[in-house]
Amino acid sequence: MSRTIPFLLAFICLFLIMLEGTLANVLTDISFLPSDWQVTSHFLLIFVIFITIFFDQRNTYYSFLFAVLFGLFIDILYTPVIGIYLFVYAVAIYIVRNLMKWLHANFYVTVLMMILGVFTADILAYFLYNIIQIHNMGWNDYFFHRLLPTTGWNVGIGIVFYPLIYKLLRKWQYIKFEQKD
Amino acid sequence: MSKRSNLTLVEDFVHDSVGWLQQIVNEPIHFTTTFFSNINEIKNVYSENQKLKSQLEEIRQVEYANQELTKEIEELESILGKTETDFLQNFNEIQASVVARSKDQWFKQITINKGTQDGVEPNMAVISGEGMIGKVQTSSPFTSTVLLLNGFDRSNRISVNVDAEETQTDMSGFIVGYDEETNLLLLELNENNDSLKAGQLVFSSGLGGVFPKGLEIGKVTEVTEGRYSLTKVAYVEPSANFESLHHVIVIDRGMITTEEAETLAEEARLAEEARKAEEEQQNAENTEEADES
Repeated sequence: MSRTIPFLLAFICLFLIMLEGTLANVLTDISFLPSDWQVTSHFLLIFVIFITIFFDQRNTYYSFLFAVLFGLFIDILYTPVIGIYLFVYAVAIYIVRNLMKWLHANFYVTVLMMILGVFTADILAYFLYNIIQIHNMGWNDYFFHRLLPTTGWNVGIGIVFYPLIYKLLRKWQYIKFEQKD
Repeated sequence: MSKRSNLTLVEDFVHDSVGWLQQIVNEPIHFTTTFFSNINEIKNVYSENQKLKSQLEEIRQVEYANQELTKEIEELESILGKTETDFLQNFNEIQASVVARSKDQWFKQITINKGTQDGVEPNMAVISGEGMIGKVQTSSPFTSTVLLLNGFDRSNRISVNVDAEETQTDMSGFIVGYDEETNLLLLELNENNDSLKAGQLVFSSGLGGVFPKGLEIGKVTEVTEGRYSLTKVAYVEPSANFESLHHVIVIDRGMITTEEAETLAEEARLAEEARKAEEEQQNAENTEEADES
């Protein structure tokens, strides 16, 4: 059992990537949201932040591995430029991981980390895509029409699924690292 | 945007394996969303039905006229000795479903569930029921990505005709880009033509060498002067709705495209060179033989 857990986590990550793409097709079509809002799903990032907080030990780097590997998948699947999401997710996880050395793993810290992670990743992606001239969106426009709705959406989903993922990861962490067989 | 249309093996593999799984994820979500929109639509069913019934008679007449015209065209074609692929309008349709959209709205890109195995190649036009929506950007064996019209820039122009009712000849021009603020396409006419008016329909002209002729693109909404007042610039409202896309049709142009023509020419050139080299070799051998004797 303890060997299959990283693969189970990877499978969930893969599922979340697919969900991001499928939901993007639905989210653009929702009529009650203002039409100039851009809501981007970062479910993978949210889940990997959960892994960083509740699963990874000091000497394991599963969250990094998943952020880099599935960030690359997102680049290949959904964008013509390879490397941006790989980089921004890795940076976000690096920051969260280092901060978690000083903080306790509880609900409020998790919400804070989700907000921080989404902010870091999305703002970095904004600047990188701006540099290579994918878009020319002004900062104000970006902040109010994309960053805030995106953060709200992702952190909201994260909070809703918090109890479920928390229980699951704690259990798997116990099986993987503490259980002696 | 990247200019490559050929993917590496790894990218192909990721696209195909995830695309296949994605269809399974897509099914329940698509079901739920269509379920709710169906409920919304049920409210208007009766009035819509009445309207459709009245249109049915009209369609029957059009269909009859269509049949007669097709017969006539076929006869004329046979007289001229032209085959089907000689016409710019001809194309094959490949039906496809949308399995995903780029999760980042900065990329106007969707993924469809048909690839090179079904005959989808890069640069083919893609339409929905209402009109043209974009072109195939890259294709893997079983999935392809489509660049939507609102992601087009100056490097992906479309050669178009504007349908003017009063005159016999259509005005020709290019779709040169997309205006993010107004959500309209930009049309530049080749010559300064005063008969360009709001409300006229814009079609692909087939002269760009990539798309077939006659795909509906949109309707002119506003006409302004271009730079230096030498050309007219018009804003075109796209016919298709890029926001709600579920089923699309990939258009495989019947007539040879410029790209195919280039590769064919290249192949012919190589074959010619090989033939010449062979001939020279044979000549050399012949002279050698002659020397020996």
